[in-house]
Amino acid sequence: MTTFGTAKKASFTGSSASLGAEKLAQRPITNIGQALEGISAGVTTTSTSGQPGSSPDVRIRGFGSISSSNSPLYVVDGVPYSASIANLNNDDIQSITVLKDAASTALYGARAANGVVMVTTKKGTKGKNSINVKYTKGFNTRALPEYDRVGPADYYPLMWEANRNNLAYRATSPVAIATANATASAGLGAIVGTGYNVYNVPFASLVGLDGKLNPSASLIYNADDLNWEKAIMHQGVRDEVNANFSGNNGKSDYFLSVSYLNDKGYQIKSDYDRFTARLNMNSQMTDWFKVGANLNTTITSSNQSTADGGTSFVNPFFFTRGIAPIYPVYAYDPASPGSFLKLENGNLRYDYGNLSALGLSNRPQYGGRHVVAETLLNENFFNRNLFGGRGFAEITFLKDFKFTNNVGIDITNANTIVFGNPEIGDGAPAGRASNTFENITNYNLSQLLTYNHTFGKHTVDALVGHENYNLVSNSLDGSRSQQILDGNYELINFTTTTNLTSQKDLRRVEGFFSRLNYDYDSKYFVSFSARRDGSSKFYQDKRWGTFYSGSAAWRLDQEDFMKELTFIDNMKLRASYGQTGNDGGISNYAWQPLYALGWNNATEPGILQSSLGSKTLEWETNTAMDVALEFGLFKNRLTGTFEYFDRQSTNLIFAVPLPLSVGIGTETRNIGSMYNRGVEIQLGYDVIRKKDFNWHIDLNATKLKNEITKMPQESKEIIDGTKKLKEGSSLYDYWLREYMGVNSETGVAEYRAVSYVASNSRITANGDTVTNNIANAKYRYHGTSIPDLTGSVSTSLRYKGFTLSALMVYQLGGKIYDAAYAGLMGAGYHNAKHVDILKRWVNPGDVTDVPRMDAGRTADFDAASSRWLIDGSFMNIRSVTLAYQLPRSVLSRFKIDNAQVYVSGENFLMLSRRSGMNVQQNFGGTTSNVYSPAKSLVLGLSFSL
Amino acid sequence: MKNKIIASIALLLGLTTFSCENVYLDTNPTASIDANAAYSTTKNAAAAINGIYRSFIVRYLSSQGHSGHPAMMIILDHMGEDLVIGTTAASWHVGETRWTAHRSDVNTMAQFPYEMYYRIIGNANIGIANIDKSVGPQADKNTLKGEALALRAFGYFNLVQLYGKRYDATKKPNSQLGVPLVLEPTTTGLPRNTVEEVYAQINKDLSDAAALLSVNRVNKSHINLNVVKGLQARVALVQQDWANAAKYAAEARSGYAPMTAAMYVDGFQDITNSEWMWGFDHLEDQTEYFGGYHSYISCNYNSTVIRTYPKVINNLLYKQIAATDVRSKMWVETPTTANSIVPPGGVRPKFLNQKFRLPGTPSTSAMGDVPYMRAAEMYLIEAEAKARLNDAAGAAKVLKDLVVTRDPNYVQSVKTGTDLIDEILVQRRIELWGEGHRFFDLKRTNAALNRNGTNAIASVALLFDVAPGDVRWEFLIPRREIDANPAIVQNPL
Repeated sequence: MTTFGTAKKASFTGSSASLGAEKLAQRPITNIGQALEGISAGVTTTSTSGQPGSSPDVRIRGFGSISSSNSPLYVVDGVPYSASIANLNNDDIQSITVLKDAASTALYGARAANGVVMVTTKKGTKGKNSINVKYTKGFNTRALPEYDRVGPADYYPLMWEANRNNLAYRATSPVAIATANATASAGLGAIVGTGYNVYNVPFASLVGLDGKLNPSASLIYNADDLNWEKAIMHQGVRDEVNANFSGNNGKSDYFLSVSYLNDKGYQIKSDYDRFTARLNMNSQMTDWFKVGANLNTTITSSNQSTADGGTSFVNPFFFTRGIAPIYPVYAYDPASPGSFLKLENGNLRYDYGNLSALGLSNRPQYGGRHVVAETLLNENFFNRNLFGGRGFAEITFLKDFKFTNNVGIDITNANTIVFGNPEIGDGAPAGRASNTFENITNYNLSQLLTYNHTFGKHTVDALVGHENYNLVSNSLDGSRSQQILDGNYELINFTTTTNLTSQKDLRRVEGFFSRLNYDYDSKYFVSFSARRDGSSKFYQDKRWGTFYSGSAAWRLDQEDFMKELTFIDNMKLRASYGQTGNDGGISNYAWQPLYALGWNNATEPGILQSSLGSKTLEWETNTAMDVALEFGLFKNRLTGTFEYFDRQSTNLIFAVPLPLSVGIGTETRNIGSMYNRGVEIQLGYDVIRKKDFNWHIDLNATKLKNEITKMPQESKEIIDGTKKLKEGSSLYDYWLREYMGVNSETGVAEYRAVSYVASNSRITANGDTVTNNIANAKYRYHGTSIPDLTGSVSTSLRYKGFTLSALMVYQLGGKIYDAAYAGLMGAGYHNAKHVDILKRWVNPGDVTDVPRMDAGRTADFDAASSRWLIDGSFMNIRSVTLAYQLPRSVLSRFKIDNAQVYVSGENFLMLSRRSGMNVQQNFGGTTSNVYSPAKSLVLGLSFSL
Repeated sequence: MKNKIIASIALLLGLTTFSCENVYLDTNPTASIDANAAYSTTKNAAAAINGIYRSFIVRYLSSQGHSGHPAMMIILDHMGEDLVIGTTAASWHVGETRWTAHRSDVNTMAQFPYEMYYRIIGNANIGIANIDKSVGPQADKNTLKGEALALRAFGYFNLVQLYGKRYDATKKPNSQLGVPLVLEPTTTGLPRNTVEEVYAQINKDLSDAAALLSVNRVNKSHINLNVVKGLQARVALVQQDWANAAKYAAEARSGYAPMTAAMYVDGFQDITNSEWMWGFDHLEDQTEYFGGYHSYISCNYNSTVIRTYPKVINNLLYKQIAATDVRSKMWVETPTTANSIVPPGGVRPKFLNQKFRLPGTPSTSAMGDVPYMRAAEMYLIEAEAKARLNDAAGAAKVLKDLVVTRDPNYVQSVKTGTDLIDEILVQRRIELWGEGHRFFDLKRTNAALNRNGTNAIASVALLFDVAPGDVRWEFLIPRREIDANPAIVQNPL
């Protein structure tokens, strides 16, 4: 499968990788994006969130853009696909092909600058009618454990220390150590909450003057009472059933499928319920006219987890990770410590942390909030209906000519409801709801005229075409508060409107293109193409861009001089060069200076400056070249590709940060250049090749170098979070304060200083000037999140009816900025602590890199710095499948063609430098409180009649 | 023949679908309008000026606790000694209370006011540059330009007090660095002007605005002549220009009578209050939810802040309020369910705030209005200025005119000199609690921050003393500005 047509692998001049139905069928993947991980050298993905149905991010050959999109274009059945790929049923897919080089993707134009993922759905196959049925059942659990955190026995003394050290070491009026010790021991209860003593000795004597837990203290609650993770996570059940019916009589073919999936995440109230149906029919009606249609519908409803990576109280990962180990899920009975309060129905009462009316003390951390109760009582779900259609009519005339008219339409209607309950949390005390309707319609029309002629040893294949893409999105969003009756989340059941808005947006692209393929004697292949694209995002004088590409291949194995080398079965040298424009990721109206509506001042209409616009903004250009050697040796027992690629991005579009003092934050400009260069290696080897026993191993590796080569004159350096963009740096080079460890005399965190300031600096024995004030800390580069090497190893072992296949992905090098870990290493009060905090500085002379606990110095001690970087190497056993094919002899008795049972797992094992760290969360290498990946295990049964 | 027919059909199909014109690629948004239309007519210009007022009350840097100018009002009081966090459960505004947040150049607290006030200035600059070209009545243009000038002055007045060293009238010209004076639409960063230059511009803009504006306006959310004079009084007070402070303050409050004791109890959530000169009229569909002023400052909105660490008043200050003064009821020393209102499950620490109270118990909405300027402040400015001009009798009289409306038993002060000034300042602290004046008052009077002996909780506040002249009286210029503006320099660390 390739751009606007198909090509035999042997004659294909581009770079691609495919995955067929046989490899997809048995994997329990709800979103086909998950199948792209490890598919090929040069393709990297993030880990998919544990929320069922979510998509990973995909990058093909590095990072082509800074502000524009870096995501590949999905093309389904030949037409660009703008709806969510979560709508696609894994079992309908015949193949997934990743097109990596610009020459192959150039004809898709504007949206293909970052590569193309082509998805082809199944058709009826010639010869017979067939019925296939598949059923799987399995479950989801958490693939990565939580970070290792301290328990109550360490937590109380840590809080004691945070208080004591603040009193004893503060800059103004410090307190004598002995007094500070006494104050900290006496004041422990006031800090952690007077009702939150999980031990059998009173607070006043829980932590002694030496800062140690009273040795006679023993827990009066069991560990599960304090385990919030357990209360909100469970084993999610996954059920899937598929049936399809197909046939082909030579003139006409059909494929009809229906499927149902119910995939429950390992967090409560997170699931994905999907029904799909597809009908693909094609008919050669006369010898010159062919017509076909591929219609599908998907109906999805899903409860969405609120784990958005942020620090809101309703984020289960933020809450359960951060809550200190002394706060119980259920409310203690203040009258009888060690037991719990009950509701009238006999159930335990949740401790909201603000039950002062019942005599409980207020929880100082996350008081009045309770992620378990809020998750259960709130709602956050969507219902989404998709209708998709692909159709074509093909006319053959004058022997060598063909005219094809293609139409593709994807219509998504979605309704999202978010409800905040009136009892606890953001919706309290009256309840609130928001309700969003979206209607997204996109259509893609293309007309192709092709000419194909062979004379002698020459074959010419020419194409001219035109395409237009139109995206219309409508949304209506309303919120109301003050719920009237329980259990109804529709807005009519609320009294006060807090938001009501709607808008309609339009995006259009038009392109003209042509391509010429030529081959001589199936030995030499060349291809040229040109495409002219216009985008509605740019001003009329700048909106059209023209992009060229060319590629060539030479099949050495067809040459006479190679014939003698009999061990060579296949050898091809190929090269390609191509350009594509990129306009993704920026506003639909990027060129226009705008004032935004919606800034009303009470009842008076109001508008406010929102964008400067730019009439000179134009296409970002991606120019890619690659050279490769493909080979098959020893009867194709050893196959492989060595490939070099170089992607140059020029005219990079960037939201350039302006000085805040000019009153508007950014201006979108074409600012610079960047390259991605790399080497890809793919090898496949048949270790065993026998009739009943096969063993095959595939291995791939990619080494990527990304570098920014040009920045704009007016902003030579741009700091973006933990990164700084600058000529000579990569897109993902860390720019951080340099952590210099802990002063062994005082226990303060020290950073390399900008300059010596007597009040906060010192010169170390090594001659370094260090400071304990972050405002004086010096920033510098600290490596990159881009790994030294990425790749995958997959293997498949078949013995008689048994097949065992596995896929492992890996990364060597690259750094992770583990912000989620940093959140557990704070020097202050009220948060769970990572076990590494036990290495903190305690007494003068202690040599450690963890500063002292000190509630007054958190800004300096916990600051963003190189302290939070860690090696990003990891290994993930992404998928393992064991299948058994029932013997034909048995099946024939039941008139069954084929039957299989299998077990399959995703995210079997994830190993990295730190337990619990989600290395593949994003390409920038930072971690946060996201829904960590799921481990899925299913048992499947499939048969064909 | 057959081939020809097919070819014609193909051509026809091709032609029909190729006929896309260039307008196909001209698209326009529905949620925004062309910036060039913003000042094409005075009607549109009025919307653009209204947008600026709205930009006062929205969230900045996506931070709930930093929702615009009302958040600054709360934070600047937290940085003083009078607005106290009531329990150790505090999470919002702790770094501000400890004076660490504004001293880290990457902290929201260094960036958010800088970004907000410059956004107000940037939008006002567009208005000032374009309003004369718009189509519409000259009277409307005058009003809109006057508002834009006053808004710009308001922005700079806040910025220079936050980021510049204190103005000292004995050391003219004040050559210490203020903030860059950006006076027309641009994308280029400028260097910092001196504090003297910034004040000169503020005074010029305010007097230009005064010449263009009248006391009439559509809504109290707009700046009119009274508000301009109120701002002139504030500026003069900070510049120790006592004569002008007294003059403008007296003129500014004309037409705005102090509340009666009865009105006072409900006096801090409704813009229609007779004493409010300028404020924001909050409607339900313009909510910032938990980010709004009353989500932090009220006593009965159901937010985590108010439930678990409500605001209390400095106990030493509270003790100076007479029992007969209605304001003694605006905080409750020993709160109980009978004498105070809190949200469900809310705590009741001592000296609990009841000053800002929304309708309803508990309030289901955070939609209280926001008081930017009240006539009471003008009485206090006039009294203080007169006292500093050694007009003790005049000062005491103005003070009495205000305080007697709160406390019928109040007797006109017979104090003079520093004693009288101190009495006026105590009244000022009581009257303007929670309205954003304390940090600026300490700074302009060159006073120390002193929380010793108050009910500030040691483990929350951490900081008890800051001497006058300490570098921490200046906010740091945000890192974001330093990165994008090569002309800028940082304040002393």
